[in-house]
Amino acid sequence: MSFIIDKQTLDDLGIFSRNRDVSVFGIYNSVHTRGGARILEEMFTNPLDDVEKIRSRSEVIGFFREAGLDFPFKASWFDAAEFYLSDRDVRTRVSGEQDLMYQKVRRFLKTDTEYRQIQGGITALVTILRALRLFLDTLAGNMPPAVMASSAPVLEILGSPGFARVMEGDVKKLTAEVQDTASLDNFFRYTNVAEVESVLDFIYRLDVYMSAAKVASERGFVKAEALPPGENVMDIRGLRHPALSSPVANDMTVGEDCNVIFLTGANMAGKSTFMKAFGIAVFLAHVGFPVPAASMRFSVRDGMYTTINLPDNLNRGYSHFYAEVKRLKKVALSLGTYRNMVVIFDELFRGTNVRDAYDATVAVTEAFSGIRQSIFIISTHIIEAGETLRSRCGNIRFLYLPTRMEGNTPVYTYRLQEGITEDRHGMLIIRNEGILDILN
Amino acid sequence: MGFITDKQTLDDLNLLGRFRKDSVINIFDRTKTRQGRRILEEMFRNPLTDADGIRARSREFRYYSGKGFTLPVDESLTEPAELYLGASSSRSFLAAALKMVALKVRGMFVMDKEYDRMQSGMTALAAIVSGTVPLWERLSEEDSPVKEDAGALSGIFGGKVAGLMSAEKEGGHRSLRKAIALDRLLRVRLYPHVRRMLDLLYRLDVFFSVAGVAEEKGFCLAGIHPGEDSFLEIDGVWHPSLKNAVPNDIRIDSSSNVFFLTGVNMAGKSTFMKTVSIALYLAQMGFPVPASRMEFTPVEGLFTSINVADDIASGYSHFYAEVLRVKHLAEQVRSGRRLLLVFDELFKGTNVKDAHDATLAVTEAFARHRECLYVISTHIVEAGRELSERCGNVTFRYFPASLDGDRPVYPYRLEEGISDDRYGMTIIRHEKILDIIRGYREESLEAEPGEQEPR
Repeated sequence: MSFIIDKQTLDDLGIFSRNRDVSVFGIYNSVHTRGGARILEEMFTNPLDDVEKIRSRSEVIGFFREAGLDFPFKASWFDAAEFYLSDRDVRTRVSGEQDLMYQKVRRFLKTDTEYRQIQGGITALVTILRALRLFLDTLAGNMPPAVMASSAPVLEILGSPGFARVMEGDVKKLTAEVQDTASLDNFFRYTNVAEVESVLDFIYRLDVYMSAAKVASERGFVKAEALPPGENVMDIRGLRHPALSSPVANDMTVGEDCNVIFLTGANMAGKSTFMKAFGIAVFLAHVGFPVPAASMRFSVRDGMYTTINLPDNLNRGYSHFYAEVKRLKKVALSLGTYRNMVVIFDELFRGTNVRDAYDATVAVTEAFSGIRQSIFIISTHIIEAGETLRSRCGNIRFLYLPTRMEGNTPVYTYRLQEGITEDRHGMLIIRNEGILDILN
Repeated sequence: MGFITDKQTLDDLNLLGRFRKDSVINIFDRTKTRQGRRILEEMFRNPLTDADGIRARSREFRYYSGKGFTLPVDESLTEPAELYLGASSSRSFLAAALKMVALKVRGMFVMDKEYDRMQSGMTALAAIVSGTVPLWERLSEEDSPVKEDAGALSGIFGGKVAGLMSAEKEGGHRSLRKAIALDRLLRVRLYPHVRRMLDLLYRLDVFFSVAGVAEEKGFCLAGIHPGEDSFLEIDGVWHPSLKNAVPNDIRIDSSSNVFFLTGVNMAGKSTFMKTVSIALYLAQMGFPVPASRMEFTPVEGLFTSINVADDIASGYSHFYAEVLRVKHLAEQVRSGRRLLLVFDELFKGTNVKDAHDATLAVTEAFARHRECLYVISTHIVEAGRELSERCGNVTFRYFPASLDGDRPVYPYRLEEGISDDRYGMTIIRHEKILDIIRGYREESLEAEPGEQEPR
């Protein structure tokens, strides 16, 4: 079982790149190897729901952040080595037994490209292995347990006799003789493939962790402290949206006694951005990656559903309201099974009349607030719903994003405040455009 | 000043667009000639604004309808005939004859198809001339709208010339001498009449095509309402592109110039608004309309906001775009022009509250301009209620919806008043969302495993 998240949520939060926006994945994707990119994507596609796994991953990234080391490999080595290793066709295996005359001639004339590619691949692979051992040797002693645990089998492989024989001497000399090339080729590509792959996989992970550490230190992201599930802790200080150039930081505390946030504010006041920033922090924390905040403590969740940019599918005969109801039902059903969720709804029930929107917002929010282990953030313009809920439920926290009017121009602070606001600017814009004056 | 409209409106109504299936122009287009198609398009691009012009054109349609007129020729004749006619710029016999000789000589020595092409073009034109004589005779009768032209043409081309031409039909080959004589007749002596005949033919192509479609589909011709005040009344109007469309009635006039539509999404609001707009647009062209009866005073323009690109994700900017369009239309209204404005779901890009306030304020402001007519829809029924208290010149209609089990049912038939379908909470209750959240219905969770997609 892994952290539950769906496409709508990933799209809402902009985790993977959609359109030309900056994606969260893009921010972290500064890996050097293709294998690293693959693993990063895998990690982002499968956030964790296990407190130990999250902790160990964030610990590893934290260690590399402290160490401040550079990735000790060149990307070009991997291109050659991966290309070489990916070819498992036995017909390409170098044979040392029958070194025929014509092969000698071709090698002499340097026309046997296949052979030369194999030579190059072996050289690149050996270079990688040597660099890895050197790197691990320099780390030895101050590795955290998590790194130690994963590097131990790698060190064992590198120390085994088959691998040890390539660790010393001139790399070029290893493939000088056809017989030697044949033997190494056989060793790397056929008899010890599994070992070679596990070593490379270790390097790819190293790549992911080290580049994540680098991104985090460049951008001032912090390690999120994971707590076991069940307590319903969510405490974020200085939370900000990672894709914004000059974001405003906000604090956010939700807990068992106050697990619903009722958010109000004008259209441009930053509601959606705040909700996205919160969702991204929760997401990254469950990937075990540093989060864009000053500090974060959270108890591990079962999953997260957001509904921020819900498209209405008119082609399938759904109105926007019906799309919202469908989405709500999906979330509700999921809450029946997994009670430990993060749920975000932006501008709930936009596609219906005021009365229905009021009734539905009150009813649904009240029902949600009964699930104390989960966290809900609900934004709306129907402030009356907020007033009703305030009198009915004790565990709802009311926050708003304020607007200050400077003459006829609204100014937004993007800083959360306690309470409910009636700020709306639809009519203001209409008045500013002078539409009613034109008609009068 | 012509009829004013804009691209948004033409797109909303799917009027033009020859390559779009279901476009209104394609419904009417059964023309047989390229030129006919062009005239039809011209008419679609330029609706009329003066009552006399509209009356005159619809009188033509009235004459042609139900009489089973068909064009006796088609593109396979008109194309080569036009090519032949256009090939010579000279209208003097000597030059034309010399050209003919030159072509013949060239055709004999080098492989030049020009001469053959000219011969077959001549044959085609001759076939048109002889083939259309009965049509001209028929159209010369007393009440024909083209009786002068048709009478003249039947006088010129009937009798001797027709006989000459029909003799041409059989012979594929003709001597150079005969060709020169025929060429002289068609391209020199009779040229102005030939031109006039062809142009009339293309125009008739449009009228026959439209009249045939109207008859087949049961369209009617709109009558012009006497008097100066704005007036639009249509009985049994339906959307011409829909099969089994449900007809509805509408009446808007200067004493009640706002038609306020409510109803849930999908109940038929947008379709009805398009239907009314298309009917008025066609009526302004003098065309038959998909309705059982229509009476109107011509307007000077039509603007619709129906399929405003529904980009909810962009939130604010979408709202702003809507505001700007409304502003543009407000300026048009202020200029004193007589317009029909159609707004579907005004301000849907913003929150319910803002949309409510804005719809109310803008509708009220527009309604004061009695020379313009408005059809305005919203799903925010509260705006309708308040409007009914504030303005006396608003007609309220709604499209009902009901739930049959878990499926909403839409009768698509307008009813009087404002919708009070408490559809939202009904659906929420029906989907048992609150029960699910409260955990009352554990068994129903297991009954619907397909709804859940944990990954």
